[in-house]
Parts: sequence; C-alpha cells; structure tokens
Amino acid sequence: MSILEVTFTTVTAVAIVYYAVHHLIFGSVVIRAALHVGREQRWADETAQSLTFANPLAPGVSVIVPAHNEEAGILPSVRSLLDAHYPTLEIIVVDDGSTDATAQLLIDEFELEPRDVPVVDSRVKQVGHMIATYRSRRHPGLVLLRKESVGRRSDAVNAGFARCTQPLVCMIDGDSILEPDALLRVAQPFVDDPRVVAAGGVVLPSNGSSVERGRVADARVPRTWLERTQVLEYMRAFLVGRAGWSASNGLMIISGAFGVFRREAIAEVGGLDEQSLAEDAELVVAIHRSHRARGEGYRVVFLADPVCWSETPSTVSVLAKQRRRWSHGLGEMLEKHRSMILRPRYGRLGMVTMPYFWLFELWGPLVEVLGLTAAVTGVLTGWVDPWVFWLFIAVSFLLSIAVSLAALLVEVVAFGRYQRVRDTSRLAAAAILEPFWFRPMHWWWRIRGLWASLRHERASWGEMKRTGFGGEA
Amino acid sequence: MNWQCVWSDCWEPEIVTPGVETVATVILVASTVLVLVLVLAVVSLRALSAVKGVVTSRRTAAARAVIFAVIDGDPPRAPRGPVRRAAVAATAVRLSTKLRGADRAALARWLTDEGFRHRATVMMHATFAISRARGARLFVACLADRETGPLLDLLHDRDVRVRAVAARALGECGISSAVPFLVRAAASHENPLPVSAAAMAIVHTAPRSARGLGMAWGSGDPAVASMAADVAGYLHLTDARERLERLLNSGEPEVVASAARALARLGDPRSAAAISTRLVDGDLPAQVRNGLHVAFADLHHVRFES
Amino acid sequence: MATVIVIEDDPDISLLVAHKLRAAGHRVEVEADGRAGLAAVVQVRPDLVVLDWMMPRMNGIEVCEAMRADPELAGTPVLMLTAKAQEADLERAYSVGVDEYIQKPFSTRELAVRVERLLGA
Repeated sequence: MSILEVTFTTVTAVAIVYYAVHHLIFGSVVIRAALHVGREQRWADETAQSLTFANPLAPGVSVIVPAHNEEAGILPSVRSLLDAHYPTLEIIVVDDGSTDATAQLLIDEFELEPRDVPVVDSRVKQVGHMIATYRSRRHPGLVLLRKESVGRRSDAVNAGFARCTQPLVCMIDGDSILEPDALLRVAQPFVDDPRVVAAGGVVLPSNGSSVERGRVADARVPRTWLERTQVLEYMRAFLVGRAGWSASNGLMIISGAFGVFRREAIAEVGGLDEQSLAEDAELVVAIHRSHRARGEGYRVVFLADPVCWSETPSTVSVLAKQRRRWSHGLGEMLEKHRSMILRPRYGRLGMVTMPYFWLFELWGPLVEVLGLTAAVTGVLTGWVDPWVFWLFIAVSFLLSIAVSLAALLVEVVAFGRYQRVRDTSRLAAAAILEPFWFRPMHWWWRIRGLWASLRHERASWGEMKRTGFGGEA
Repeated sequence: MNWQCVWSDCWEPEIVTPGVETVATVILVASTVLVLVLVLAVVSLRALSAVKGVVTSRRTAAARAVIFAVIDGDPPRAPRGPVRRAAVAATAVRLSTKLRGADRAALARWLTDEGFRHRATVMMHATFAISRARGARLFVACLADRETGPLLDLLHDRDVRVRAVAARALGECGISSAVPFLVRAAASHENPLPVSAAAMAIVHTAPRSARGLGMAWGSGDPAVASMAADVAGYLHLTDARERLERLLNSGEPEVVASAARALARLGDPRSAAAISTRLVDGDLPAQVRNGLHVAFADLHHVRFES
Repeated sequence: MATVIVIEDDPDISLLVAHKLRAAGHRVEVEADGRAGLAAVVQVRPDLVVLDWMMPRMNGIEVCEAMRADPELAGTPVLMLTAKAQEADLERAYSVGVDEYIQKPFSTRELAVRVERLLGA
C-alpha cells in the first residue's frame, strides 16, 4: 500500500469519523429538542390562557429596532409592534445613518416630533454621533433616534439601549415582523422565573409569505430554492438547534433578529460589543460569563413558539456576504472568549456548546471540503477503497439530509406553520437537494469568513438589498 | 505507485476486509432507508394533521353547541364518551374565562351537576403536572368559590407552572381572602410562587385597602415588597401612601423604584417631600434616580425631560 | 329583524354572540379579521356592527375609522367588545366613533340589552 493510498484513506476516514460524530451530536440534539418541544406543546393551551389573562403589571419591554436603509420594511415592522399584545411597550427605532427615506416615512406616518430622549444608562457607550431624537404625538411609547452610522448594527442597538427605560429589552431587526403575541410569550419566562436573564424565540424567513398591515397573514414557502433552503436552515437552527441547547442551559446564540434580555444583564456587560460582527452571540456569551464568574444561578432560554418573521437574502451574492460575515464573527467571538472553552467552571457552555461551535461550525467547512476532496480524488484514482467512499457518502450526505428532515418533522408535528402539503413537500425536497448544491457554496462562504477571522480583518455590516414585503398596500 | 492501477479493478487487499464492506453496506442502506422514511413521515404527517384538524374542529363545534345550550338556560346532558367529555370540558374552561355574571354561573352549575367538578378535583391530584394545571382551571370553571382549599394547596405544587396556574385561577375567582395565601406562597423559600403570578392574581382579586396585602409590605424579599408597591399603585390604594413612603427608604433599588412609581400613580403631592429626601441621600443607580425624578415631576404635573 | 355583522377573531366569542343574536331573531354574519369584516360591512350594509379591537389584518379601531370616513356607513352603530380595559383605551374607542363599549369578560345578557338599545335608537 502506497503512501498516497494511506494518506487519502486516512483523510477520508477522519472525515467520516468527523461527520459521524457531528451527526451523532446533532441527532441527539434533535431528540432532546423533540422531547422539549413536545413537552412545551402540551402546555400550549395553558400558556394561551395565561396570555389572555392580561397582566397590567407584566414587566415593561423596550423594543430596539436598528434600521439602516430600511425604507422597504420599516413601516410594517413598526406597525406590527404597535399592534403587539403587550401592556407596557416602548419602541425605540434607531435610524443608523440611513441615506433613504427611512426616518421621513416614520416621521410622517406616526406624527413624530423632535423631543428630548435622555440617556438613562451611562454604562453602555455609543460611538456614532446623535443627530436628532423624536417622540410620537399619537403613540406615547414610540421613539425615533437618528444617529450617524459607524457602520455597525451594534452601535445602533447600544444607542437605543442607553435610552430605554423598561426592565426588559427586546432587539429585533428593522425588517422583522413580530407575531402579535410573540412578546407576551417571550416575556413569560422572565415573569415565571427571576433567574431567566435572556430568552430567544424563533426567526423564520418571511420571504414568500403574504404580509398585510404588519402581520404575516398566510405563511408560505418562498419561490426560489435558495430561499427555501434557508427556511430549512432556520428550522434546523432554531427549532432543533436552539431548543436542544437551551434544554441543557448551553444556549450560545440568541438571534439579534429576535431576543429579549433583562436590561440589567446587558448593562453590566456594557451593552453590545461595538467591535464584534457576531454581536448577538457575543452578548449571550458575555452574559453567561458574567453570571458564571459570580457563581449566580441564571438561565438563558429558548422558546419554540413565538415567531419573528424576517426577510432573508434572496440573491446568492447578498447571502454570500451575510454568511461570510457570520462565520467571520463567530471566529472573532470564539477567539475573544477562548479562555472559556473546555473550562468546567463555564458549565455546558464551556464544555459542550463552545467546543461544538469551534469544531463543527467554524472549522467544519474546511474539514468537510478536505474530506470530500480526499474521498472523490481517492476513489477516482483508486487510492481509496470504494467502500470507504460509499461509507463517506452515507455518513456525510444521507445523514445530513436525515437531520434536516428530522428538524422539518419536529416543525410539522409540533407547529405546522406551513399548512399546505405542497409547501411541506417542497421543504422536504429542499432538504434532499441541499448537500448537492447549497452546501458547497456555503462551505466556500464560511471558509472565506474563517480566513477573514484568522487574519483579524475588520468589516462592517453588509448592505442588504430588500424587496420589502409582498402584499403590502 | 502503479499508475496503471488507477481504476477500481485492482484493489490491494490490506485494509479492505469483508467486515468493512458489510458495515459500509449496512450504514449506506440504513441511512438511505432513514431518509426515505423521514420524507414519507413528513409529508404524510402534514396530510394527517390536516385531517386531524378537521376532526378536532368538528368536536369543538359539537362541544360549543352543548355549552351554548347551557348558557341559554336549556341544559342538555353532557356527552358520555371520554373524548367528547374532554372536548366539552376544554370548551367550557375556555369560555368561562370570557364570560361573567349569570352566564358564567349557569355554566358552573351545569359543570358541577354533570360531575366535572369531581373530575377536576381528581385531576388536581394527578401525576402529570399538565393534568393538575388543567384540573385547577376546570375547578375554577365550576366556580367552587367556597372551597378554595384544593387551589390553595396547588400554590405549593412541586411544578412552578402548576403553582402559577393555581394563582391565576384564584385571581379569576376574585376571592380576596386568598391574598394572604398568595403573598405567603410568593415569599416562600421552598417552591416559591413566581412573584408576578402572585401580583397578577392579587390585582384580579382587587383588594380595597393596602392592609389587604398584609405581610408583603414588610417582606425581606425585595421582589415581594416591590410587588406590593406595584399592586398598590396599580389599584390606586390611597391608604398605601405612608407604607410606600417608608419603602422609599429601602436599601433595595428595585423596591425604591417600584415605590416611586406607585406614589406617582397615587398622585398625592404630599409624597413629593419623601421623594426629594430620598434623592438627596444619593448612592442610587442612575436608572432608579431617573425614576424618582420622573415621579417627583409627575406629582407636580410637569413632564420630566433629561 | 335586523342585520348584524360580528367581527371577532376568537371563534368561541364570535359564535356565542352570533348564537345569542340569532336567538333574538336577527340575521348575523361572522367575520374573523378586520379587513374581511370591513369588506362585509361595505357590501352588506348592516344595521349594527359588533367589533373586536385586537384582530389580525386590521384592528377594530381602524375598521371603525374606515366606517366613519365612508358617508354611507358613518351612521351605522358600532358596539366594541374588547379585553382592553384601561381608561385610555375607552377614550380612544369613543374618539373614533364607537357607540357602545363592552369589556371582556362579558355577559351575554348585557350584550343583548345594549344591542337592542342601539338598534332601537
């Protein structure tokens, strides 16, 4: 047996083991998530009941909506917040140096007038200069801040954060649509358990669904395969990934597109890291860290039923930038907090979640590309036994399809948000096709992000071309 | 390296043992089957749940017809099958929270006559938390005002969500005699009732005097003390003013903030002095100081800015 | 006999209200969201509208505003049935032209009395 054969077989075998371990872990997370979601679903009626038992004393929520050139989606987004079922709500829209009509649209629609909005928490710093502040004449809780952009979303959120007055803080994106009872549901764990410091809900792509007057009227699967595959990714990441991690208090990411925090927890870590690209994950890790350091009991929870609909990229180039940025940010974040990795004092997060993200999310694409290249080259040249190759295919492709389908199954059984059988079939088809076309592109984007993070590149938040919501009058 | 041997017809046998081949085949076939089964499951379950939705909505419609007849004062007998009975119970529980007055009383009387109250009591001792919670709500739908004992027991249930459901249920009954029990459950160290659930229930029972909140005022637990302040402010309990002014001197920022908010709601200008004294004392977090300023300004009917 | 449109997204309540009003001899149509409800009102021109506040697609306040802006519907009485309980909510409802305001939880007898009063007026 030649050196080449040994090398190629070994690389392929390592890739097989890598995939097998990855899928085993993810498979166990799927099972845990299914149990978790199943248990929660049995309480659905009771929860719905508690929501209708409107509680005027529920802790107030400040919603921070950072918006950078969001004229296409900002009005339905703010309208969905104004219509949200919640007793005490403050809405702070932060116009981060938009060059379009974002601010003017808001000023006209909600009768905003220039008014002072004082800073109430000096622990959170803001870099970009504040241009003007407004309050609505018609809606007492609605505030608009206009600031100069420093090119990062985190600075916009911090500007809002320094001025928000309620005990809970919710961050969403400028193009997000909250379901009417989403805030009540996501605030409930804070009400039930004082140890809860952060809670995240589900984000699903709104692409393809019809949105009317700030509500998703009819959930549908988008038209293009690129967007459909993203729906599947979001289901995998949220319904399964986060539900599973949260069940063991090892949740690392609460999406910046929909998360609620106790304001004190954010304030003590100084708000979002202005330098970070993965500021949402950064924030959660920092919160874990500060609580662990004090040895204080705390919980970071994920809820599978409150949904925030958000527009996701519909073109390959925008998606490429987004994924590159995510990967870049993840690399930076893990680098910054590397002292937590494999330290028992940081609990599940340090021992399981962070190593998992380091090994499978950050470095994953590189290992996978090397493995695939070795396997394909090997079998073509005869340096790798065909059986090893088939084993590779089985473990890498088929199991990953199975995991996606399992996530879809959890959604179908527990929630059934996409009501049409045809839509569900399309998502199943997207799951089967994904490894053959989407995954190679995704590898490439993520490897570029990994490379950027290794080189300590600095980047700003990407422009996202928005088409706005279909069906909006 | 033998370059003639590029394609698969000349494998060297060292690492290729039959065992590897078998394992590979098994894994390949198994994962293919797994994928196919999952695809089938996903699509068929979607279709199946559509059918199930139709069946459930029919059952609910039938249950509604029964309940509407009860509200009309023309009570039929409850259906016998366990599934239909469960549907009737669920519908009754949902509707009873949306109704009041004679409608609700008629519903409660019928539920009791048809044995649902007995069933609720049994459910409240069930093994599964969810059954105990459902039992508590069915019990309240039967409006068993005079015997709140079983509900008070559930305030100390081992599952936090059952405790919260029991508190809500007591709130729905509007029994102010339950307030001391709610306060005690919230302040308890073992299996505490979430303070906000207690607050919500107390607001619904609507005590008329600050005295009704009893030991909450002197509680060492800041969450409970500030809950008392919040409730007093929300319900406009004017006789709570002196107690609230005393809470302003608490060392807990959370309590101070709640007391200031409540005083602002009561709107008695006499409280302004207490607030300004507390502001002079200093060493409060910026957030709380801001709250005190807002309350102070409110009492003078000016809008506080910056 | 009068024609009433019930616009309410909770089927327990809308069906109960419809049941009660039918029993009182009225013709009743039920719509589950604000936009469909407004369309029905424009088409049917009912004698009374029973309206929820918090609804999908268009809330009750917006429906009422749209009705009052239409000269042909400006006179149609509106009864708002809502869980919103604060003073400010009541003010807002009356300011857009609601004629009666009933809070949930509600009593079907009270509803019946108020409906008859609005229809008689």
